[in-house]
Amino acid sequence: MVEFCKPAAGKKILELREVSKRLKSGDSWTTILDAVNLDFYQGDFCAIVGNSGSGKSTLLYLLGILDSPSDGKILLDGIDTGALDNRELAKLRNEKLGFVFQFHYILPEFTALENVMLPMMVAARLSKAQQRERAMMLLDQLGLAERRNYYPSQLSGGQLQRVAIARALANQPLIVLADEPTGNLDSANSKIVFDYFRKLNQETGQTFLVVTHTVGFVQDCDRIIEISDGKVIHDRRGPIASSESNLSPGGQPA
Amino acid sequence: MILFSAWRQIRHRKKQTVASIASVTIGVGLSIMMASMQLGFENDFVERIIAVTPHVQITSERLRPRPELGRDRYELSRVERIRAFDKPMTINGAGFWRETLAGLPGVTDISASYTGQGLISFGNKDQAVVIRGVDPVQENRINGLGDKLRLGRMEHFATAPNGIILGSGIARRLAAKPGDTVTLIGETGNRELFRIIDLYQSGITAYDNRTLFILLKNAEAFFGASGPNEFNLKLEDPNSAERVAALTRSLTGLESRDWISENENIRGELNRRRMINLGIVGTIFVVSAFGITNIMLMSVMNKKRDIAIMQAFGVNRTALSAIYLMQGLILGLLGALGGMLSGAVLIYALSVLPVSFTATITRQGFPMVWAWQLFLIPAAVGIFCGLAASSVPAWRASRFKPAEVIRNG
Ligand SMILES: Nc1ncnc2c1ncn2[C@@H]1O[C@H](COP(=O)(O)OP(=O)(O)O)[C@@H](O)[C@H]1O
Ligand SMILES: [Mg+2]
Repeated sequence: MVEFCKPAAGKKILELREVSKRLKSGDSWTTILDAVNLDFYQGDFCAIVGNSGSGKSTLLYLLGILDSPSDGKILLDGIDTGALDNRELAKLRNEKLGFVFQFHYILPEFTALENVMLPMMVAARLSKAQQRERAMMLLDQLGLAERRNYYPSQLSGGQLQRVAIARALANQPLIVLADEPTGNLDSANSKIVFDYFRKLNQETGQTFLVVTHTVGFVQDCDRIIEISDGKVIHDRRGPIASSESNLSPGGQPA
Repeated sequence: MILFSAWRQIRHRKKQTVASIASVTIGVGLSIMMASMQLGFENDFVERIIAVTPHVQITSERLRPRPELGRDRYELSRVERIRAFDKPMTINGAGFWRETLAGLPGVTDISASYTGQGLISFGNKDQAVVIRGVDPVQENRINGLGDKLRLGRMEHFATAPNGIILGSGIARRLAAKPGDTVTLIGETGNRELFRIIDLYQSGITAYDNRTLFILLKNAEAFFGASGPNEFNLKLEDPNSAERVAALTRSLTGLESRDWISENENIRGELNRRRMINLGIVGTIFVVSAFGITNIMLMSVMNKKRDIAIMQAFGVNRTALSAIYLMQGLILGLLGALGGMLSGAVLIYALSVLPVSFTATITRQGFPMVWAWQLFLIPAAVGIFCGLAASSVPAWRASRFKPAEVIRNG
């Protein structure tokens, strides 16, 4: 049984239409995602859950237009991403998306502050001084004001992941995509991250799509999408405890 | 962003960067040094050749028009460069030709001389020599005979009745010194006594070992000739020698030699040396380019994940390539700068280093040349080398699929 969720208040900013992903393994093709239909709305705070190997990461890469689907359409903020070339996709990612992965991917040759400034430098919309100011503000919010001029080799794993989060937020993305962002963090650091995501979501209305296993976090999400064997098997709004009331079985979002 | 990233990456891998820059520096520096040395040798050689031989020499050898079957008879007058059967003793109509040749455009000076073969004998030694009968004043104007005399006794040579100037090599072999009396023996067995006035040293060993000078009138008497058998021309532009020689050949019908054609074999040798130098320098550049490519390719592979995240936050493929090309450019530029500096230092060091060569040319110190082209061309090659070396890594960097890299860690 597949359950579909009702739209949240915001406008539709990301939609998947019959999206499949097949990969060649040896001589045969494996279907990793199978005809997925999903809609995301501005302000969604959404957990993507599922067993290991179910296709969560694959889905997230497609949502983040880091990868292209074998079949189907992905519309980001009304734009059909299948028609875009590498340059346009890169620009779209830079302007509208922010990524956080399990590993921090902080560039070793730049300071914490510079790492956060990089997406802004690519966008080149703000002046250097404004970029700096914004990067400092983000690092400050994540409790790293003191460390902003440290190089990655001088920071701990938890601190680096927070720098990565600041970097993902640099260009005020419409959507933040996170793939097990706390997978390498202790519970204290994990809590800092989730609380920050939640706070931003409430204050700025940014959309968060987070692949995670952390139960405490999932329970706190507005929407939970469960993937199994490349298919969406549950998609519901509200905390799990009270999820039944939010299910609208057998129908498309109104 | 591109320059910033490129610069930081270069700075981040210090050891490899130093090695890359050093290899370009070595390539550029050595090219500059070798080119400077090569040009120095060539210029020096040309200077020395010009200093001992006239730009163009018209000899008494007559050229024959070659009859060619089936050709219009008027075409037969075309003079071709074929040796005459016999070599007349003197140039016929020397007075007329002298006037005519001196009046040719581009000819700044002319001298008449008589050159023949003979033996010199001193003590119990003798040696085959080239005997040149010259007018000291004229000869001096043509190729600065006076500058090459050990004792500078030109005046004395001009006025002494039986004076002779020996090439320094001849004097050494005979163990003769100025003031000694030597005997010249002609082809007919005639003998004549001469007093050594001075010794001649041009720096071209072949000349210094074989040539001696006596007065033109003494030479004519010694060889039994009634006039000169050579005219020597000095030209405004030494590089026009081949053209002028062709002109005098067709004008006079006499064999005319120019210094360029006469030294063709040595030019071939110089060219060969150029090629060898080019080969060495080319190899250095190729090796350093491969080194840089290797270092940067390793960096690209190690930075796979960094490249993927850069793509994720919006750096497109072109920009990624540009970051690596920029690194190559920076390495090339720094290497070129270092190379120009070390090239300058090497040139200076070699030009003041006291060295002597005895093979074909004798001199002190390397004859180095300073010219901006010597610096700019290797520098440009060095920069190009850096850019070319980075092209493969740049291409590689733009080929990563971010999703695959991030998935596989
Ligand atoms: N390059 C690949 N070739 C073949 N199969 C792959 C490849 N990448 C991932 N898979 C498979 O696709 C499935 C989904 O992977 P993934 O999206 O990473 O799952 P999850 O993130 O939910 O653990 C897994 O079974 C995995 O083995
Ligand atoms: Mg995964």
